[in-house]
Parts: sequence; C-alpha cells; structure tokens
Amino acid sequence: MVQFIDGVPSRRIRQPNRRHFLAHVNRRSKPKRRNTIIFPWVDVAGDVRAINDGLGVRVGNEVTVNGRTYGIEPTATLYPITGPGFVLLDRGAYKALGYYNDFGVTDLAETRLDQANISAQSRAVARRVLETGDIDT
Amino acid sequence: MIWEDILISREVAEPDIAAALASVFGIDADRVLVIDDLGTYDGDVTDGIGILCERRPVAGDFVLSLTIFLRDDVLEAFAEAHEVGVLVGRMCLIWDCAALVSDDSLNPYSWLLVRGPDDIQPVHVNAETLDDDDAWVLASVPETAGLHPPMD
Repeated sequence: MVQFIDGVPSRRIRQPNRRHFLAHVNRRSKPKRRNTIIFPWVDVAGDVRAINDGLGVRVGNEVTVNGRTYGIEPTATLYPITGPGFVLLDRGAYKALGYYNDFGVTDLAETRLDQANISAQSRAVARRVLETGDIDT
Repeated sequence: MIWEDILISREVAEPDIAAALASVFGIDADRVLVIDDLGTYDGDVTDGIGILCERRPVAGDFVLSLTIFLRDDVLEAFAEAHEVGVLVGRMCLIWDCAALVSDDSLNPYSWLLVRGPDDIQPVHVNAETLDDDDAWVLASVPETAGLHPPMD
C-alpha cells in the first residue's frame, strides 16, 4: 500500500493506464465485467498533480480529488472508480466502444458487433458515450 | 453476448480450444469458430456458429487471450445458469492450464485465478508490467496455487 504522510503520497502517483481513456479503448482492449472509462474533458494530469501535492483525500486504498475517486495500486498506479467525467461500462458496452473507436459508427462496425452478438442496448450505451462525451452514471 | 474475456497460461491450438468450448457448453465442435481477430476476419460467420472465440497471443505468465462470444439464446441461458469460474475451470482441466477471469471489482489489476472448477482464488497482476509492457504477470500467487491445475 502506498503510504501518505501529511496527505502527500510517499511515492509519485502514476496516472491511470490508457485503457481507461475513452479515445484509447479499442476492440482488443481487455474488458473486465465492469469498467470505468474517463471522458476526454477530465484533467487527469491535474488530478494526479493535486494528489501528489497532497490535495487528495485518502481513505484506505482510494483517494478523492476534484470530486473524482481513484483506486491506488501498491505500485502507486491509479485507476478510476467514480466521479464527474467517469462512466461505468459493462463488458458489452466496452467492447462496442472499442469497435466504434476502431471502425467509426459504421456499417462495418455494426456487422462485426452483429457477428459478436453484442446487444442493441450495449451498442446504444457506447454510441451515447461517444456522441455526447458524457452519460449519467 | 460477450461471455468472458479470459487469459490462459498455456499455448492451446485452435482445434483444442474449439473442442473444449464445445464440450463444456455441450454443443458440436463444428458450432465453435476460433479466429484471430473478428475485426479483420474475412470468412463467414454462419448462423450455425454458436460460439465465436477470438484467440490472440499475450505476454507474461499468461500466453493467450480468449474472448468468447455466445451467439444463441440457449447458450446464453446455459452460461447464466452456471458460475463462470466453474465453466472456465472445466476448460482449464481439459487444457491443463490456469486462467485469469474477471472479478467484480473495478480494479483492472484484480482478477480470479482459476485452475479447476473448485480451485478459484483472487490474485493481483503486476500493474507496472501490464501497463508498461503489456505483460500479464502475477504480482501475488497464493501459496497453494500455480499456473497448472493439480494433476492428481
């Protein structure tokens, strides 16, 4: 576990991996059952800077800054959990998002998603995330 | 539906993947299609295909990623009626390997290590090797676990 001394982490915190960023999800990204995605407008670097400066509120293995809660790995890597600009996607929606990012919202993407039997609901969530850049969580 | 996205610790050929999936789900092997990448696949995916599996190499303690799609209602109902770990555990016994299966957490480094239907343990993968090198390396292995199922 990363220690915090007077609110400052004992190791430099690393920002979440690119697999969490909306634009970087692709069809080969490996989804878990539930996945948190970060919208492009979130200033993740600013959040990381604030945490490293001791401005985060840490509870257990989580830290909250600017209303967003991140998990902290023992390696000091963050992963997004909840907050403004984060969205929770199930495996189907995450996979659909990967196909849309790779092929656009095109007939080809829809054909592939048909072949994978990804539900209309999962596709709708992925399209809404892409088109609006936000979604109620 | 996408059923599971698992990693396995041993190289397993396409026909053996198809045979194990068919056996565990109780269908004929010719209803299972194993391919590298659906995004570039130029063959037919006929209506008769019940299970579509993408098989691609990965690095680290686990060497193959398997993405498994179920393409009919009967198979989906079967999957929903069974624990994922139990079904994947049966495949592990056939393949003589271990598998990483998603847990319910949002932590991308927290997984379940499956070595058999009754051998499922929480594990962590190393965040730095995964993020920096795309390598799936266990950060902690329970004392009783290894990457192969017990042979007795």
